[in-house]
Amino acid sequence: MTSTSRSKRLRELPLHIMLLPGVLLTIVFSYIPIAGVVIAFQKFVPAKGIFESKWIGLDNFAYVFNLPSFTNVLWNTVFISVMKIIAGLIVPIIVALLLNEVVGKYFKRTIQTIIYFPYFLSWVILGGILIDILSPSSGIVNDVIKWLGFEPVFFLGDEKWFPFTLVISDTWKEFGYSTIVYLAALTAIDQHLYEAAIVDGANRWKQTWHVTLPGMMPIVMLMTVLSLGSVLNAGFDQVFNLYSPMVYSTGDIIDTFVYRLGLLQAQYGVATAVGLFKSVIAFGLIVLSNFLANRYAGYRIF
Amino acid sequence: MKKHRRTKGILLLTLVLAMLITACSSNNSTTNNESSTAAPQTGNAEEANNAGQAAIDINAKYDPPIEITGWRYTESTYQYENGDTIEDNIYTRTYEEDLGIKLKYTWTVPLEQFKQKLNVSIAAGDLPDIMWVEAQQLAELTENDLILDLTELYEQYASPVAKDILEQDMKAFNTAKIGGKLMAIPHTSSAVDGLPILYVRTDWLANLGMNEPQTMQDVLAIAEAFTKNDPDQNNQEDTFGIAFTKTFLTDTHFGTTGFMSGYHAYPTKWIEKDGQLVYGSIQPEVKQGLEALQKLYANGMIDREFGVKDRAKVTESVAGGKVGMFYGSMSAPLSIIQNNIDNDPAAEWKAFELVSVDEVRATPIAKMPIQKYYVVNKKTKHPEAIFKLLNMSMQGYDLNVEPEEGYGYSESGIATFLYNFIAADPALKNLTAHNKVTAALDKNDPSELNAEELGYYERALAFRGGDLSNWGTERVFGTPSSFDVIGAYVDKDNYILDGFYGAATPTMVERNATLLTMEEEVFTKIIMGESLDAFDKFVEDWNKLGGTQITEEVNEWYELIK
Amino acid sequence: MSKRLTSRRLFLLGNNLFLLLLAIACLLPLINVLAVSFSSSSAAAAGLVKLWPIEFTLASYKHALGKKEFIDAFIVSLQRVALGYSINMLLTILIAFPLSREKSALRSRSVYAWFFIVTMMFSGGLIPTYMTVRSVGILDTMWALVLPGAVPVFNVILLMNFFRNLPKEIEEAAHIDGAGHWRVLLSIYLPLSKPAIATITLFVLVGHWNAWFDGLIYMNSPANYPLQSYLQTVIIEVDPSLVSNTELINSQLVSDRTFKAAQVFLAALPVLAIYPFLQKYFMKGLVMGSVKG
Repeated sequence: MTSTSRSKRLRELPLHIMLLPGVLLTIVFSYIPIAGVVIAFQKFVPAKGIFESKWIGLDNFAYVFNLPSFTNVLWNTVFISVMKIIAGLIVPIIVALLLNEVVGKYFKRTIQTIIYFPYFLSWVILGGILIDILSPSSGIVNDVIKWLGFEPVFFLGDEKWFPFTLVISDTWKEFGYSTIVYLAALTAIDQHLYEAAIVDGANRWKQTWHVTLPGMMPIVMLMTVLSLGSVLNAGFDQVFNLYSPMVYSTGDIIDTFVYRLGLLQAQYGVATAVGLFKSVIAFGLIVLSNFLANRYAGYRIF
Repeated sequence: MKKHRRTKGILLLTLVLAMLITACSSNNSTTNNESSTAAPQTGNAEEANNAGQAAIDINAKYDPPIEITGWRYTESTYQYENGDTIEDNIYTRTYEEDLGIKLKYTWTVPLEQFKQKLNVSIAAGDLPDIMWVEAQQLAELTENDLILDLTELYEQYASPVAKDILEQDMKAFNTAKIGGKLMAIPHTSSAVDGLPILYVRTDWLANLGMNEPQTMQDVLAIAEAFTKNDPDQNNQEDTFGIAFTKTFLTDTHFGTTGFMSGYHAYPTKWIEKDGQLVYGSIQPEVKQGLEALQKLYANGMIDREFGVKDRAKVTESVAGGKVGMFYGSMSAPLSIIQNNIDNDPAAEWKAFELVSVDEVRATPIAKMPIQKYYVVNKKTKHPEAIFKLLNMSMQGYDLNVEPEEGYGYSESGIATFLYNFIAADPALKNLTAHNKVTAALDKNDPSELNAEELGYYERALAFRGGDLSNWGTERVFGTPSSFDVIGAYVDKDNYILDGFYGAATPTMVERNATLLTMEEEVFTKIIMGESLDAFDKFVEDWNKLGGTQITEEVNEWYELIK
Repeated sequence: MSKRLTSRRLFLLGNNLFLLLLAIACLLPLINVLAVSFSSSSAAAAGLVKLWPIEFTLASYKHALGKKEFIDAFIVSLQRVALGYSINMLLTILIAFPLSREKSALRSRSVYAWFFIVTMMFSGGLIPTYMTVRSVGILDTMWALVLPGAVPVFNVILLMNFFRNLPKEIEEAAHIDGAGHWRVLLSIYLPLSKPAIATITLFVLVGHWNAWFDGLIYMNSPANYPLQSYLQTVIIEVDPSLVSNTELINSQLVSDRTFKAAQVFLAALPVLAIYPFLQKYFMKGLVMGSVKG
């Protein structure tokens, strides 16, 4: 009994050694700073530092939650980010599937390369471009809308449209990048399964449905669960560069809101409290979804 | 077994933590050591610390040279030549050669990053000898006793010229005092430079046969004509009257501050009424201003899409000849209108004083002009060093000293004065430069000008010789120009400053972001057509959501400084 | 049969058309940036440039390539990518492999897994992280840019799941032959994982190339900034409320959109150029299936 456990431990040893450098670096650069979230419970003043700032318990949390606009901002954040998560999952999967059907090798590669271009332009740059192309009076998008016989839409200035503008433009910027993951997953599917399906008389559509999609499912589940971690991140850079007082009511998110709080005075305590709140929610969602995926669908994600 | 493993994990964690803490403290002690080893070289460390009684010759050179650490921001637009850097340039070399001060920057980050770097460095306890800080850190560092009280040192060591420059505007100078003690040297500059000015495209006025604006009614009429009467004569209705940004409440260019002054309204500023400070945005005059803006918007005289446009976007409208009027600060001809001149040599703009809607003259308002302070670390071994740097930098303003080349602009026109570590500007520096430059242009004699002014003079001359790329300099420092207007404000003593310039009060810190957001939202919506009743509701909400308390706190502060 | 063929052909045509439109929509902003970068600055300032340069000029490229800060930052970025990529890739593989083992082979597997996953969600925030980096003594060095993010957990999870999906039989055979964990990893798993490694390579390269915030925080002088940190300082408009009036006059003289656009394009170029090469490996994933048979 003891000898088997020892030999087992011995066999495990190389695995522990492989993990060691990563574990050490993670402790130093992630776990030790995580101890710094104590700032969330302090009235943190840089000149006093972490050790001498005053402890105020949950005041920072109470302050944020009691701000008159907080519920609205929280709702905007969840609404925008959930829509982004959904669009950010579906669009790349569809595009990956469509790309997979393309016959011409070079056409396929060219498209694949081009769709990931927008990823490399920052929102500062894209913001200026979007104001032009979405302009109700002179933008190309509204030219098309008018040509189709509809009223022009003030995408960036209309409270109702603004969240959708955010979702669509974000998806447009990011989908090329995540398509890569799904394309890689597609190439990893066993070719023999397709051959078997063809022998069974399955057409392309059925092959996609019965071979391709199930083959992609593990990675789809993984991406879904991981994206839940960002349910309270609706994209600071994007919103910050596109929003305006006209659309505060539907476009203001937690991060832009905290940013404005901090403009007046560096409110690191409040910012950390909000960050901690976001982390706890994200962590809870990920643990829960991991459990559910394992329990009901049999996918082990982590 | 399981339990055992967990304790090991915790042990490991504490071990690493302990290592870190020792690493951290040893780091601190080494920096202390460095500075304390540097001290004995200058003679007596005790003496250096007791500045009050020490017999230090403030004009002498440190021998052997000492090292002073500091931090500062730079901007990506700073230019260098001949291998110069911010660490090694005409100023740092002079510090070392003439003063025996080796200036060593612990960091020099771009302006955008300054606040962040400042706060993390202070939190980490990395304080150099001399620091650039903002009002907020000045207050915090003072409260935590980390910086030196400069009151006596200033009296003793600051040169008469330096004192003269710094104290030209006592209000501004006093912002560096906390509890009556001088805790910093303020980087003074000119308050009047921030006053809003009305800019109008005069070639369009001529096209339409209209006169220059004298009243707010004229401005409204011009806005209408610029929108509807095809001022650029291209037979297209593609222009509009007056330009604003989405952040019009606070922007210096394309803001509403100047427009509102025409209605005697001062949104986002604090003004005195019956001996008390009141918040400008909630005064009834603002409602009238908003009503006028609402009408302008409804009639298409303001860009329909102004609500989403930032300064860069609105500048495009100006540059592209789509708009012929806006409120901006004195630098607009250089930074904004020049783009229009580049595109359309026939374009001409002129700066005007603010106009009023009634018989009472319109009074422009500006903010207190101190953006940064120089503070001295309490632990420094050379508390007087900052005054050597200050005195040297102020020599340029000493009329008895022959000006030296290279400290303002280099021969090839690069702005070297920006490298200066401790700078302060006279209260009317740019206005004076304008007056001297125009006088020199009249007399064709630049001999009275200092290096910086000479730069403006030469560019204005180039413009007069037909070089349109220097149009902006002529329209700022030449004539007619934006400083003609600033000069008129000063001559008529017609300007006021934001009444509140202290550190943010406790309720401000807590509530102001929310209140400002609300204000921006409500005002924008009113301009775009929402009922004016929303303004009354805003006033009510503002008071209810903390405004009343802020007003009380602001007036407590006001009592103290009065 | 023929009916099916025509419908297939129709689908392919429609599909290609759709993808083409999609690609055009993605190409437009980049073309706009390019057009601006090749235009005269006055035309760009007036917002006249859409998809074609106006008053074509190479001036801004000459300016950018002649600017010492830009070239320096470019070099810093190259170094960072080289060092950061080596560290990230090594650690990703070394962590993903043990985590992909069954619980029977590594009993503390899930402890390790959650140990890493937690760091994806929780972070100490700006100040504690800065203080740690400073205490370790790597402030203002290249290490500050590569060590804090040395373990890219997302990529670890990707690779771990890829490893898990590899056929178990080969590994079992290897173990019977007496191969240890290291041998299994190096001579069996890695050669089979080209598509996953290529994907992660792309992510890591792009991640390091595009990172800008850490450079701004940990570096003490713009001379040490990587390219994207430097670009941030160029692109973002200075908040005029922070600048004194004297500096304002000076700072606005030089700001120039065409110059910005040229730098943005030059900065994006290297990663845009690398992608087509890595793409090849996604396609080669077919290797996997053939091994199993």
